Amino acid sequence: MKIFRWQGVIAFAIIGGAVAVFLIMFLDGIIERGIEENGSQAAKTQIDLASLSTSLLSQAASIEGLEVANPDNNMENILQIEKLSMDVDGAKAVARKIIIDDLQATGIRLNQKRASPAKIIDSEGKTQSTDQESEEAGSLGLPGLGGIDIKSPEEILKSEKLETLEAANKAKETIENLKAKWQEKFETDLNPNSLEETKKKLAKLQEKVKAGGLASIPETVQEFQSLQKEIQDRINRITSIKSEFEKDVQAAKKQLAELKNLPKKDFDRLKKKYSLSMDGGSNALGTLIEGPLKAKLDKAWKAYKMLSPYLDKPGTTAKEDYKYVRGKGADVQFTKALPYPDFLLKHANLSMNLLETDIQGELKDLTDNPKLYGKPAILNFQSGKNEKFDSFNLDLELDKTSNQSKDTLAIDFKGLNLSGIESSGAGKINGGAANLKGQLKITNENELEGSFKAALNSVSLSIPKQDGNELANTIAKSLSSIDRISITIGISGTMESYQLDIQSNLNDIISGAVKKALAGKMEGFESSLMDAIKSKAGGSIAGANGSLSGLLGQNKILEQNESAYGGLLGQAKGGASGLKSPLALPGGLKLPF
Amino acid sequence: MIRQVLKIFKALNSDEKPWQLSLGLAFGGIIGLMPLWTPHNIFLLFLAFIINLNFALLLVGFFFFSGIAYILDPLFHEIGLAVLTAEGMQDFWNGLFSNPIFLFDRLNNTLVMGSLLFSLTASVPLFFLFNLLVRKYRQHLQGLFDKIPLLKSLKLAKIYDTVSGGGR
Repeated sequence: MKIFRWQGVIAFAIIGGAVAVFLIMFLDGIIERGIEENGSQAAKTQIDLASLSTSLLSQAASIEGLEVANPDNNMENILQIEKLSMDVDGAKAVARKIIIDDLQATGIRLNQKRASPAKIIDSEGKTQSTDQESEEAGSLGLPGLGGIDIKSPEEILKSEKLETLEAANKAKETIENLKAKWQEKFETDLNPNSLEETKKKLAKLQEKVKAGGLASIPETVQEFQSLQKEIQDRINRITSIKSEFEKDVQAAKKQLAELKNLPKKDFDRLKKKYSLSMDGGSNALGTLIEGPLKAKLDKAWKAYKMLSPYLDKPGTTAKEDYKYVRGKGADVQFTKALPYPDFLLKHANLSMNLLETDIQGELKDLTDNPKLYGKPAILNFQSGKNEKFDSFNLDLELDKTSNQSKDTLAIDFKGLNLSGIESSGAGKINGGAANLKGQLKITNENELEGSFKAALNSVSLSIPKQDGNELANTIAKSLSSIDRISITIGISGTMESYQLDIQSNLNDIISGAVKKALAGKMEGFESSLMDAIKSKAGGSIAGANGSLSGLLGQNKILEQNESAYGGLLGQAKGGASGLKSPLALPGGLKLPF
Repeated sequence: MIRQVLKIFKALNSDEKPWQLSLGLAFGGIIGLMPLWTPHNIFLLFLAFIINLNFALLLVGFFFFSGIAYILDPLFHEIGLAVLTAEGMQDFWNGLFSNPIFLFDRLNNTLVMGSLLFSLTASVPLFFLFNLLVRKYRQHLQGLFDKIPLLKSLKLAKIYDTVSGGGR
């Protein structure tokens, strides 16, 4: 029996050859699909390639039509690159390290509209094809004035709760409850039958006095005294009830008195909220600049946070840091053996299309493990004078070589021609030029510190008229021609909670416009707001007052009872005192001595 | 499943030497226990082509031990991690992995290293154990099939031939 079967070599060679031919024929497609599927899952957004070709002999690859969809807007590509060609270090590729010696990228465009909606990649990497609300695409846009408006008092009261109304309803309910309580109490404690019975008892005694002899006098006196005590007790009880009732009445009156101040309180609150003051320029500035700027910055932080983990692998890994993943295990790093990161782009020439103008850039030392590589990644774009601007310079340094990362962005944009910049619905800039300069530092991938200065000269804005929004239209008119706008923006805090300190002479421009627009109008607004509040709460306040009148009316019952029992007590006392006198005789008879 | 069992019986009752069967199973075990698409697995496959071992049992071993590998996955990770991060072996590993071919082979992966060590270690006793079992089977059980008339009477001739080795 032979140990080896040499014909197996032929069989293996045939099978191996077939596999190799298959791979060579379909390698490009396999890599293309791999990038699209794995890249989409890693970036949590759709990535498409029009074509990919590799050359194993020259160790080069080229990609055409790279599109990265915007995860927040599936009708927009956040990044588009027409053509990418790269030279890969083949020897390092054997060690599963992607080292790109040189890369050329042309036709880089940001925020471009997509031809078809991108699939939404969820957190588990599954794709969905639901459409998202499409946002407007465009690298530059104008903030709208839609948020600036004075609502009518009727509209305001539709959406606002009035403290007056709530308090009046509550007071009415409280007084109605008091009324019900006292009604019940009067029925039980001030029963008219008991008054009648007392009257009868007194009448009976009076009859007895008229008809009785001397022998019954002591007994009758005792009965009179007993009746007097009974009536006095009643009167005391009524006095006690009266005092208790008075307390409730005072509490109800106090509640109603408090109602008087509430319409003013409501008015002040709503006026502060809805009325634009004469110094409303600062609020308008917030609407015009801070809101839209924050929205764009939040998107930028999100993209930065998404990219950061891929650009900042730890330099060395402790044993505990290798986490077990079923079916995949963990790759242990041996940095001394081959001191290269898993991914390194040594040098790239970039050509980006900004404002329909090609600008050239350079990227150096971009890696997934800067601590191991020891150099920061540097990106620079610059361009000289052209039709759109005088000069443009952007420097980005991602220094994650130490444990405390320091990323810096510096921008210097001079002589930007503002003509033609527009945003659908928000308006168009007809003329003007801008200079923008600033720097932003991000420490530890979270702490922000930056300042930007923009100066806009001879700006002519054309903002569409808004029907029924006179204030916005007046402000728009004031912005139609401005000699100079200067804006300084300071950024501080962390990405989760950052503050924008915006200073601008736009404040004064808009304040002036607001004053002009508001002259006379705000007074009318305020008086009609007060009227609307009174009208809305008036019914409830009147109802509460009516309830109080009802409650006060119940006082009459107490008065009547008190007076009736007082009269009875007088009569009882009179009857008893007549009998107690030694000279008095029944029937009004007098002794002759 | 039935086909796999029949393949085992067919191999057991064939003229092949016990070492050919045992080696086929051992190779199947090594390849099955390790992640499939690694260069050293292709090298093992190459060896399997040129060594005169039983290929059917290699496939049976591959499928069987692939299932076992899924269960032992965490153990392989632990073995690989312990070996690759052992203090005393760092110089050795750095020396080894300075040659890119070993990184290409993904030997720095905890699963690959753990399963390779486990399967190579386990394959030796598996080879000898299976060798012994084949011998014992052929010595004591192979003749039993000839003594069971039921199989013939049921006219399951093809299966009978397969099981008894008559069909070879």
